[in-house]
Amino acid sequence: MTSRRPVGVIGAGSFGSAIANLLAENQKVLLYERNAENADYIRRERKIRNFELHENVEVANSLEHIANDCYLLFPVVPSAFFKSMIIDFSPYLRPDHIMIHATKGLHCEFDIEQADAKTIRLKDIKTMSELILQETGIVRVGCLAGPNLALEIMEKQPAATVIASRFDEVIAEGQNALRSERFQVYGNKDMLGIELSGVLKNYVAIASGALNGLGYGENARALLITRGMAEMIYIGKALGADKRAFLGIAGIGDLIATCTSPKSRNYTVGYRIAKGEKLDDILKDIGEVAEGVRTLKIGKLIVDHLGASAPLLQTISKVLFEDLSMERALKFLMRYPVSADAEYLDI
Amino acid sequence: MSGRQYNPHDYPLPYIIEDIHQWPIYKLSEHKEDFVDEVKKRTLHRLEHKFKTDKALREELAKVLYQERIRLTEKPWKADPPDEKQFWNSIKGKLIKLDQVHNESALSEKDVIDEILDRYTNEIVGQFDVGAFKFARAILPQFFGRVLAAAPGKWFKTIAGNVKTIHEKIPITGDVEKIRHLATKGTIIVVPTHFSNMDSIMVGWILNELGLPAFTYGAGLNLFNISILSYFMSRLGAYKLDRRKKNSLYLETLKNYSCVAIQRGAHSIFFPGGTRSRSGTLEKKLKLGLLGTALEAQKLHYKNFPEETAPKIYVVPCVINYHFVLEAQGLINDYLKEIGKERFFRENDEYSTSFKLVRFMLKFLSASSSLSVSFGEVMDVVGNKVDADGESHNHLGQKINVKNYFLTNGELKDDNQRDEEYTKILGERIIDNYHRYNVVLTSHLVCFTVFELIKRKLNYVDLFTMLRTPAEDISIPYEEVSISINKLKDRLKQLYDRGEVLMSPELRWNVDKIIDHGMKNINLYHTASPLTILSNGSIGSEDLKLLYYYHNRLDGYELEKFI
Repeated sequence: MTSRRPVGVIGAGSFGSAIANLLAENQKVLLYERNAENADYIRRERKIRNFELHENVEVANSLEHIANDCYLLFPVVPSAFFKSMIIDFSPYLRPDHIMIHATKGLHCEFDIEQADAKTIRLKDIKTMSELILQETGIVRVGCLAGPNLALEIMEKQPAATVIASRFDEVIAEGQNALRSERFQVYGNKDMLGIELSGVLKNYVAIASGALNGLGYGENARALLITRGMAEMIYIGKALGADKRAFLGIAGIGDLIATCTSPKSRNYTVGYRIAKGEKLDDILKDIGEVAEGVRTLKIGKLIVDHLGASAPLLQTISKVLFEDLSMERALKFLMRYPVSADAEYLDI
Repeated sequence: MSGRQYNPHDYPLPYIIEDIHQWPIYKLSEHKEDFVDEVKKRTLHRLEHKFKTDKALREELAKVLYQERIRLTEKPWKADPPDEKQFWNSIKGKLIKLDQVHNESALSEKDVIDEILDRYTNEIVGQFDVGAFKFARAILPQFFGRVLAAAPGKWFKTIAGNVKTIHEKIPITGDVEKIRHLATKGTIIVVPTHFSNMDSIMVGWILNELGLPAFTYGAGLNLFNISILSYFMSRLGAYKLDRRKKNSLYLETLKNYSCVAIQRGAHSIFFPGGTRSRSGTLEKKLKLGLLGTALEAQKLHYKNFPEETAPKIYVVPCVINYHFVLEAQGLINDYLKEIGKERFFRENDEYSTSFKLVRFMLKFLSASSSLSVSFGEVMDVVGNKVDADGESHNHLGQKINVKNYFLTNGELKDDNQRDEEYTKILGERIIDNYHRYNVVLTSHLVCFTVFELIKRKLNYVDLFTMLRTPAEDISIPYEEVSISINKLKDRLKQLYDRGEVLMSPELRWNVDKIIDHGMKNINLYHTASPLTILSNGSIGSEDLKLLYYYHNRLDGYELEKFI
């Protein structure tokens, strides 16, 4: 334990609390819960979804308090609420704050449901780091992504993650704060690549759940993961990211974890869709946000806007939103003309 | 824009510091030895930090020697001192001694570095001579004024003309009052676009007209080959910058020179594009080395002063617009060679003698009916806007303490990588300013339109095929040009309303007058006209390369979509 200032975590969802517990092994942590009643409850019970909070975690209810007390901040808020959170936070933030977000989603400046792919502007679709830079005076921004299922982290299982930033310092500060004997932290300079890896893997996870729902096994899943990654690389490249990020811990690493774990929400969505349930019912059931469904909608807009072809994304999107049956979707994909193996290494 | 606006007849404005002996640049020159010593000391310190062992230093010295010996044989210049070869031979001897296992002399790596730094700093250092300054100040307005006041081609007739009209010829836009005020509170770094070797003279003179104390700036050593320029520049605060020397010791010396000068309050001019724009486009990418010294100096101010008293450094982008550029022909040829994969291009010496230079300037100035200088937003060293009191505000309008950029966990921390990223951000803001404060002149618009129409006529063939197309195949009917210009005028107006570009007053004229004005101005100087009216009334070009060059000035606004 050092004499450093506490680290702030914004968002007391399952992943937020998992990050808070990891950080708490190295320093004091202020965990922000927006709702005052919930905050009191967590303070009393010291528990979030049956998992105990580390003794170094203090629950806070004021963003101003967190900004004043912490230099290092980890927002972990679903992408749909990220903008309003960051706008509330902004008046208290300064250029000496370092912010590393762990939200695997995209923000749209337009209404996703009403948008027309032809008329959208790509610059209105933003990564969380772009939102931070746009809405605050913070410059030293980073992101955290990797195969980090909250449940396993809470159970203190070994894992690794990636922190990406254009600033070496952000990576180093993040590593110092998070690194422990059960948690490795890798650095990467391609923040956009890492953010997009974390975002795009979501829809592949839905597809993986669906394959399983149809009763298929590991051959099919391995095919999906490998070709899913290839498609992610193509989309990422079109948006300006480098392919390397997709081949690392936060890319293929995270993809394997989410595509093979029945614990992941996106996987569950796909699984139940394949079993014939309706999307609305599933989403009502899960209660929490399935970023994958949002990502899929936004991803479809991007791909259509670019006039590109991303067969997996486009087909899965038909299954979820246009009532294409999973069986027919699979048939279509299996008939899709194949390219040379591992051709994405050459782009 | 805030503060009071000045009219052409207000210039030159009174100096913000009346007594020249109180100017930072004068003080720098007065304490030259002390200044040079500090530069040397800081450079050595930096080098020791970078190359931690004697062995590493020795290896670096060997590299420097190697690079310098190559320069000596491959690119010797008239301005080089006669004992260059001798000097580097003696360094070589010393390095051999250092390399011996039993070094019995008391000689150390630091001694050798010190010797080289001594030579470099004394070469670089500029001085400021009050007599020479006053002389130049008396001569230049006469020169610029009388010549510019004249109607194109008739300057000799109005030698006794009205000097004041020069300011109508060169409209200055920007928040002059703010710049003047902030120059009394902190140090100003002006970062102009770079199209011509005239730029430094032009900017230096304009800043003098604003009533600011003389600025220091790095002038290419090649310009010192010309005795008349050399005489003035070496006495007016310019320091020498040798682009042939790319070794680590030299670059480090140069950076520290600039940094110490800024710390001592010397207002400076940097051309962040590095060299003149070859293609004629506004700078898209900047050289961040010297720019980074502004940030470094600001950081050191925060280290050396209590927070409230730390002087602030202000960065002011500046766009100079010429209807035509003296060296256009040479520059565009360089550019074409470069993209044609002929990687090597020589340093251009369009005017290698004083006589040629003067003739060149006279021709230029007599021909130029107007040019414009526009100052962009005043920023801090990380690119935030600065208000009239010098306070920084981020893009959200929140007040920002610049010191916070240099703090980690509440402590001021050195971090070169972080600072380089900050400098990149500053660079992006400067480029953004170049585009937004670019004044579109009639000649730019006409050249852009005609070139784009030719491109369309030739079905968008590649550039080189296009440039080889015979002149008779590339004429565009006048009507077509006129219709397109009208469309672009509307588009420019939209951009102007959104604050994305500036327009010269002539662009409000009707399209025939715009074409006429633009063509007259562009054709005043060049022997082969970039734009001509053919016998059938359509518009063609005698020199497509030049047309391309001037067209490029409006590159980056996506205007081609609106033709």
